[in-house]
Amino acid sequence: MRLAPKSLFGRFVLVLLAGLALSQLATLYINQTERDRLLYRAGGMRLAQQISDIVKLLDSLPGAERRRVVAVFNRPPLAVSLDRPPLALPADEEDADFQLSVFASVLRYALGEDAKISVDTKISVGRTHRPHEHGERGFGPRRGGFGPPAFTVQVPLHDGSLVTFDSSVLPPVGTTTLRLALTLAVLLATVIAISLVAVRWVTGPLSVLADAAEKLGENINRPPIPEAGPAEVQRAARSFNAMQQRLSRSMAERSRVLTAMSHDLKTPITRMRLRTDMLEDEAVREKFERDLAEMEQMVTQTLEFMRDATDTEPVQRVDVMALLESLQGDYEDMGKAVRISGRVSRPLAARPVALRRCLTNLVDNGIRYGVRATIDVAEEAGRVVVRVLDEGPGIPEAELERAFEPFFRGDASRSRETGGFGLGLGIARNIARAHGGDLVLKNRAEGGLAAILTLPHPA
Amino acid sequence: MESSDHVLVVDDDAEIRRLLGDYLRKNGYRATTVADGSAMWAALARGKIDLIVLDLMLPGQDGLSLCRKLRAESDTPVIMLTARGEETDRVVGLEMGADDYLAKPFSARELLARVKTVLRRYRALPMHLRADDATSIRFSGWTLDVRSRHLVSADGVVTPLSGAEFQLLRVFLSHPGQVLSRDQLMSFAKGRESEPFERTIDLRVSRLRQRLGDDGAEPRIIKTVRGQGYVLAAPVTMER
Repeated sequence: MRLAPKSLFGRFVLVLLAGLALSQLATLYINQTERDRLLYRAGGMRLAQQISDIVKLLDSLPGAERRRVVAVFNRPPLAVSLDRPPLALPADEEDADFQLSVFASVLRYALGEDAKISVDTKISVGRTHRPHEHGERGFGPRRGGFGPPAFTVQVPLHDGSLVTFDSSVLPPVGTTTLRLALTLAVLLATVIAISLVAVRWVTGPLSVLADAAEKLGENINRPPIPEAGPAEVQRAARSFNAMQQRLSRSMAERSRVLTAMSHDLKTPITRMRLRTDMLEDEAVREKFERDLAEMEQMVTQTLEFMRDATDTEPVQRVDVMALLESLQGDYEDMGKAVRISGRVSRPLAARPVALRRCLTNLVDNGIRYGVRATIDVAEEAGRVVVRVLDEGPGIPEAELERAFEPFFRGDASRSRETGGFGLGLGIARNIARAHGGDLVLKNRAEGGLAAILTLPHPA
Repeated sequence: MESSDHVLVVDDDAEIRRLLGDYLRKNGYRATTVADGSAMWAALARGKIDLIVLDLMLPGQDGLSLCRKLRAESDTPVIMLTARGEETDRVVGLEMGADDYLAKPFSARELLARVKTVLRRYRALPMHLRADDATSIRFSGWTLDVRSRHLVSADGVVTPLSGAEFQLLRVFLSHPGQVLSRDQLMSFAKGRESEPFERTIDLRVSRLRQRLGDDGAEPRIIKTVRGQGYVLAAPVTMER
């Protein structure tokens, strides 16, 4: 099966075509074996019969009688004459006109059947000249008064004399074969068209299934796929839906546990913070506060992360500059400077609250590790690129991608100061990807880190 | 004055209750601590309470419904303690008539700062950050999405607001047609974690006008009242 087509569609078509071709071949074989009889019936049978009858009659008559009889039979569309010089035989019978060669075999069949009359079956069948093809073939000159004969037949009688027939009409042959070929073509086309529809009909539900499996990665809670189509596909769809339900249930269960845990941690952390506020020793209090702040960050980011997974914020058109300026305002109120450069004029289709959270996480990181943050925004072909630039030490190249891992801690000394990246970058990247965009980190040539957020922005 | 302010703490966690009570007392407040709603009503009946610190998650009747019920009877300022810290919960708390909220885990100093701010604000302009349960507020072609904290223009473009802009706009929207003095506006603007706050209220108003596409030279939405302050000169529709 290595040569078999990959797609189910291809295989179906192959099988159908192979079957059709086989059956057609069988039909052809039967037709071939029955060819003569078939041709006899189909191809100019009446004319051949007429000629054969005249030949048999003339054969049985003496020379003088023949002339009388010929005069009787010499009627349109068939001119009968004696004493014509022999025609040259066509050099190659295959070369002869298809229609006439069919007629010749019909005629041969008609003459040969009768054993009582000894007839030389060697007959010459040929076209007489038409004005423009004069001398093309060695057939005798045109004779008789019925207009130009369509073909001439010479049959030797048993005494060696020749009788010549000039027919002004062509035998009705050949169209059958042509029609046969046409029928076959129509049949093939119909089969291909029908199998196309049928196979799409059969395999369509399979593509739906494949699409659903692909999209499951994006949204585990997508609506179940319809359980339609052939029985096998229906079963697959049912199993798929059941699997999705189990997956979604187990994920929801885990989320619930994690959320409840993070949530319940808040009360003990609050207690500890309140107690810390009572501490007299400033140095000890600061250390406690730092640890508590880190714990708090983990808890709130975990909750944020879990919330994103179930977020259903609608996509709206967002004024990007107003978004960046509002962020800038918030940081300003906290005494932190954020610079904005570049411009986006058209509104961007996005989830405003999620996008804001994404950018907040990036700017937070920029300020925490890189002293100052600059947001550079640009409208490029089909997308908006937001670069959050800082002036910090950057991240070792090898760890750029690992910074997206939950609670990743690179350089130990730095993360003790700052508490690591937490889930912030992971959340930001999830949001970017949910928008059909992406987020990458790059060390800047001039020093510092660049978080590059690209979002689709079709014209 | 401040030293005699009486704060009622309603929280089901005994340890938090004790710690908050101690801390408030240490900082010159009178403090009463109770564990649930019925004890809260009892305490309110016993004597004058200047401010209530109310936990959102309480056994029996939760903080939100308590707050709503409380608003029907009095305008005692409320600071809501929420454990979820999600924006929607914060906003829901405000809609129920709380004056401010504080997400757990918080520090005692943060709470103290909020208590001071809310009391000062309450005395400057007795109103609550409430918009009659509205989730969106319409005015002069704009819609303020209260939950998402952004403006939506007439043609559907989202204009995000900074925390301060949102805050200021809500104050205006809660008092359409009412002249608000700079001091009154300032008491709200200072609400958040904003220690080094330097901008004047005029700058904030001009930023907000810019967001609203309101011409500063001839404003049509937020008008300047010479020598008195600002007024929102647009009809406001609340939507649930």
